Amino acid sequence: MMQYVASGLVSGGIYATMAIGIVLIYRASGVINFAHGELATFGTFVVFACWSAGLPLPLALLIGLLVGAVASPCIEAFVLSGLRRRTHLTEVMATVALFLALNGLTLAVFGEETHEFPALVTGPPIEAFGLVMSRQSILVLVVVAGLTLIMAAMFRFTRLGAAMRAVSESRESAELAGLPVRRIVWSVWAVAGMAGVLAGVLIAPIVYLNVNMMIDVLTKALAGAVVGGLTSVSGAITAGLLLGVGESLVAGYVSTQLATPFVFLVLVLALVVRPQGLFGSAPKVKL
Amino acid sequence: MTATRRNAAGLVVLALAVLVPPALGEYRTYVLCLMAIYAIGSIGLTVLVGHGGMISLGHAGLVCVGAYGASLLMIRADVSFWLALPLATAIGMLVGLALGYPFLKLDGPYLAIATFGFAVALPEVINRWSAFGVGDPALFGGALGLNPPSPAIGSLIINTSLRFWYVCLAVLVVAVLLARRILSSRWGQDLRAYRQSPPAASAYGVRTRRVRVWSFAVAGGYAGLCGALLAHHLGAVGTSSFSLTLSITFLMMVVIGGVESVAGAVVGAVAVVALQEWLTGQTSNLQLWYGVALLLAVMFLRGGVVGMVQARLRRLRHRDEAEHA
Repeated sequence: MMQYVASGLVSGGIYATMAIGIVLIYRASGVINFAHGELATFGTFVVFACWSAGLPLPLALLIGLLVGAVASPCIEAFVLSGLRRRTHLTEVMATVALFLALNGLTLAVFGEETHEFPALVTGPPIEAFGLVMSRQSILVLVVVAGLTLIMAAMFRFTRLGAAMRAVSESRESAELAGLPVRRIVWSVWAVAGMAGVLAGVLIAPIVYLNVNMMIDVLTKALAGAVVGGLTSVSGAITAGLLLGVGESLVAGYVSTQLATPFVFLVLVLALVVRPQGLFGSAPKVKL
Repeated sequence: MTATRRNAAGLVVLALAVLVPPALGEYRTYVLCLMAIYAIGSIGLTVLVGHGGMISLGHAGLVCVGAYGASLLMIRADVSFWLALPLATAIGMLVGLALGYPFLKLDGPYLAIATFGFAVALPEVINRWSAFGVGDPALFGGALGLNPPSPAIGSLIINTSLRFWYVCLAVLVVAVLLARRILSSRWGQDLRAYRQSPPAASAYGVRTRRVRVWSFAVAGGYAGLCGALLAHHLGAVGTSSFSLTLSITFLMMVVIGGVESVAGAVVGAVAVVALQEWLTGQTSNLQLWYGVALLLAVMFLRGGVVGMVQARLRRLRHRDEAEHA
């Protein structure tokens, strides 16, 4: 039982890391970024390529994070701002188009082979409290805990965090108050992009590095983000973790075949019963 | 374009569609069939997305329902193909209604995620059907899928692409005429009013909930019909034919053709299938070029191909009038 919960927390932690990015972008731009997972895959491949070329893994990771931090705001700056009429439909279509295009780009640049990806930490698994966990799994949990604290601290204590909150509250008022709204929105996308690449690097040693690695993770992260309320970072983290644990328990006690359908059931139920999510604010009606 | 000119143009296209295919050969006719079948599905999406302003990333799921529904009826219940077509349409409408009700409160990106979930979940459920332990574990044919029998008229078996093309064409013509009727009706006006502003439409007496739910039913009906034809066209029905990519492809047809017009849905289907055929010969990396094409269409093709042609014609006419004056 506890073993299932522990392994669920690990996959849930990765969903949560992805979900953070989705929520940050939704708060900043009001867009569901369906391309978020593919961006993460691309960044993870960059890390792999640098590491294969002989760079030490931490340096490769840094380069990958930088790629995420630069590429992600480009989506907002060049694609979404380039839309002549910015409606929910055109925005969704644009990020869906980017989902396909980025998947194709990764395929074109890095090929379709599956690679074994190096774990960030190696060594024998650790046994504690009657649980056996690999060091990589423990690292995932530490990273998620760290991200949670960093996010909370950033929103509460830094000027950028306050500016982000102001922009997501009302773009117009933030502009009137003299905030550099565009730059703030871009920084949010950059932070989200880095979180995405981090999630990719964390999951790659577990599922192996492949072009289509993040599609499943993105779906589950979307579910986590929605269950958590789309506007709440802490909600997305909590929901992502719970979803991972639920999935792991269903796989362990019912059937591994039903783990993925379970996630969708939760997603649809959450949308139908409580569209604002567990922790989000009610969606505003646009007149 | 005036109504008479438009009718004349339609008749010319129809005459070409009847007369040309016998000279095209088996494979090209096969591709033509696919264009007609996808056109039917994309008309349904035009109603939902273009006129209703609702985003669906799950259209392939509804097409999947139609394909499996028709195949099961033909294989299990010995229903003829001709009866399976309207029944699959009805099944599609029912599933559309069943989606429309729970999704009533969802808008914009929320609706996109919900329909996305449906599109990804349905094939998963079909693939893992035996794990649910409900009903016959082999109901959906497992990994092999289903093989619906070929339709026949009397002793004439529809087993060549040319014969099937005339079936598809007939169904497409009916589908187009019906869609124009539906969209020019009072209900169509209500739907567009709802898209403009749900609260305002409601204030003017539009029963927004009903309009919304029924727009899902119409989309589902067209998708079901499309699925039934697709089931025969593919020969074998498996979940891999109804991936998320197909849902995106349908959206692409609607956007490239022009979201608001029935003709646009048909033009979009023809264009996307043609693009697909051309790309398949050039590259194995379809998704890259699909993504780029869709991105360009969203960013620069305002009103789609049909919208651009209409704008060009309008400008020409203005110039004519200016010169004559």
